[in-house]
Amino acid sequence: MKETDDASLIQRCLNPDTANFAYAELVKCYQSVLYKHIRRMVIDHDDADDLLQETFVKAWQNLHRFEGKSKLKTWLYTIASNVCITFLNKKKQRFFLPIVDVSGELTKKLSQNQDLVDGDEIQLKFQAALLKLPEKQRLVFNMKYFDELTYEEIAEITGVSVGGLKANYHHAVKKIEDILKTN
Amino acid sequence: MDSKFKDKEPDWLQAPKGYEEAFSDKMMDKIRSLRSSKKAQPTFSSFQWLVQFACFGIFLFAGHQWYEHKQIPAEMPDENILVQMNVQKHEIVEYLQEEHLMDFDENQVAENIAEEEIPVLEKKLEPVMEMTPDMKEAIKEIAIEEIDLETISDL
Repeated sequence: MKETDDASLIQRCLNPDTANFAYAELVKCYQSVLYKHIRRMVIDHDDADDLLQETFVKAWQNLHRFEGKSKLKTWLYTIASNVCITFLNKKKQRFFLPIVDVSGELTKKLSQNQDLVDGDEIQLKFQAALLKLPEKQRLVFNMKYFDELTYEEIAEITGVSVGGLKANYHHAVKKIEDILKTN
Repeated sequence: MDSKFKDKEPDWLQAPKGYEEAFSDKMMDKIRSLRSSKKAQPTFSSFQWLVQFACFGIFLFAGHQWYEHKQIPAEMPDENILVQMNVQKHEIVEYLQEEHLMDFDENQVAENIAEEEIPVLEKKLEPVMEMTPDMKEAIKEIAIEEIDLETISDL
């Protein structure tokens, strides 16, 4: 969506007469891409559904604060990413689990969906390797590799410098390659 | 890293069939309920806040005044107040006599208070003089209870 379209969409969302229709348009426009972003992070569909809803509710409640300095897409990505990180952190605190165990739990969920992985074993291994990355590194990798966001956009979302992100992505790729080789 | 993994999006990543439409409807219901609950909340203008604040202030002030008024009679028959004022019992008697609040032998009291003590006494009694009728009545009660004729003759 173009920036001018974003601006007019937000204006319509803030106008009480057009708010419902405009927000429905916004949800339809971004729900698919945000669903995949969240689902990659939390694996489970039900969790992804809850978090996607939380993302759009937060966006609705804070729409008047959106200044248009960034793209609407990156702003929504920021909310979704924060929602995911908070969710995973809460999960760790609730079960007193170190990060390794959370990734283990997510990998288990992934294996339960093995039928859905289309019988492609290498795909399953790749996803399992991804889950071994620290959450923030996984977040960066997903946005760069799958969503094909630019480093500048990811920098806006995560608040990390472009240089830091490049290094982060490089380390993530190296780790995944190593894991795939050892397996 | 090659792009073979992203070219073929895994099926597990796909939302169940019909999910997008269902989610969109669910989301809009949620937004509608959020909007209606927001509308239902009373919205106050700054003027209304000011009026509320003023009313609360008046209420507090009135409550404080009432409380103070209620406290005076209950507190006054306390001898400690007189002690704090550094007023001796014989001084009270003198004062009471002057005010004709108590009927006892003037000469007996007068004999026991030297003339030069009178200005000092008056000075000391200043706070007593400023007392309200309620306070004077309280002092009278204490005096009647605690100072009998024998005490007066000992002064």
